[in-house]
Amino acid sequence: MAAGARLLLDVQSGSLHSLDEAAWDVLEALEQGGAYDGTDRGSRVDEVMADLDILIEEGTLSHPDDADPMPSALGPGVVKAMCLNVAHDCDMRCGYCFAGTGGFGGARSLMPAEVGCRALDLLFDISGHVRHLDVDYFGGEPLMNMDAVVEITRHGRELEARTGKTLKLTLTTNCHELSPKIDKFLNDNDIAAVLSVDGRSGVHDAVRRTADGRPTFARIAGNMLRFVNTRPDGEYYARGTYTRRNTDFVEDVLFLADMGFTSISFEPVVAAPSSPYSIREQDLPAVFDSYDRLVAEMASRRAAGRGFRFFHFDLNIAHGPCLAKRLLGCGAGREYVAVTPDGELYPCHQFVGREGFVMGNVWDGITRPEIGEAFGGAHIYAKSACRDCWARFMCSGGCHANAHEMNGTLMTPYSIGCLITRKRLEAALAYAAMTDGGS
Amino acid sequence: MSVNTDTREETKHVKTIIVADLKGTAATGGCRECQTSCQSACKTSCTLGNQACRK
Repeated sequence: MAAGARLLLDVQSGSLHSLDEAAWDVLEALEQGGAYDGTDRGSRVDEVMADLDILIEEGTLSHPDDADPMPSALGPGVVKAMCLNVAHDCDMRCGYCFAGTGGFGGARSLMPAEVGCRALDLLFDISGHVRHLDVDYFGGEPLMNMDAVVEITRHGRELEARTGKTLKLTLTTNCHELSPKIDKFLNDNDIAAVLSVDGRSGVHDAVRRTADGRPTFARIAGNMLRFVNTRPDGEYYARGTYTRRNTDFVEDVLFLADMGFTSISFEPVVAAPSSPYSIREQDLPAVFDSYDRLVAEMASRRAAGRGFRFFHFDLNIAHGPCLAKRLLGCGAGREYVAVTPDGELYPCHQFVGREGFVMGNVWDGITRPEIGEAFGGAHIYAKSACRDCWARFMCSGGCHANAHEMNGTLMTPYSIGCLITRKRLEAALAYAAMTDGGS
Repeated sequence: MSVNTDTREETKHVKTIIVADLKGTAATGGCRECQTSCQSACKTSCTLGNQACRK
């Protein structure tokens, strides 16, 4: 377990326990096939077993023979979130970009405002009884199409007022063209922001460059700091990608924290094995070490009053989503669709441009519901790699786009992603234990 | 079985850090008001991990 913690996660209830050395030893012996028949036992073993009986009795520890619970019904999908690809174009050329540096493998284009507005009409309609809706302005780079973003936002707020539903808006940006005028618009319209930055300037500039090859760190860092300082209570994340070139990404996280960012997220790059950026199995020990060091450093800074949020350590363990939700962590095609500039619907932003995955369009709605149904069938009880994984109710099956990209099927998760997710969850649980429940 | 810690006896070697009742939501969940989740690495905006139940 990370950072020296001895933790016992009850997978089925989600409860988390801390063990002393004696309890850890007993559980290890049981796990390795040691029999415990209630006879010839030492007093400490006796005490540990009595403790475990108490947990089983109260339901915070499941009996090893207990089958996973079944929700009453998974039910049909209800689309309640959209990714609006307002720009299939970008003013940067990042080396690891999954979106073909903005064009998603096709022509570069911007979404007309009327397409975005029609997408919102469709979302408010097909979400039925669901009141909380989410829309992310994405791309490409959405700041290249701010006129449309402004108009779509205005339309969304009108729909909210008319229907009584709540629309949460998020904008993901590379920050290159972030300006005081845009800062004000995002703040005035309560739009959460995901701000892309890869940490140390050398790491960032090695990958994230302008279309004509210039470095971007100095400019985007300045824009980000100005923006964040205008929204003391507004939601944002400084979000980075790590690759095999910076498996010591803990240094990038801490660099951003030292710059003053208090909400940070770092994600592993997803790239084909042939890419010079992809995370390989031989990179994993260094990646895992970064997560362990991050746990220790975050706990230390928190104790010193200099804490910050790291998205993946911010688990809501006690009051997280219900079981039905956890069977299918990926909402693609069932709860979530991506909209292209010309109004086509895909299961998610990563499927945009992949042949055979157009689900409909913003004028006719979802015309191929069988695509969403196929995604619904790829839940954790149906996938052999997930069925016995301890992280199954926290990871909930991983990214379908990665599974499809790496293995050609929704039913087999991306194995490197699984290993990283398990380590990240282990680290998050250790952090929760070190901080009495988390941040 | 749902979790019930009301009458818990003291444990000597185990300290419970977080009490959760995921099993108990098997029958009560599914309202769909929670944030839509996305496990994609490029979408920090809506990953499952730190979601809260809105019920």
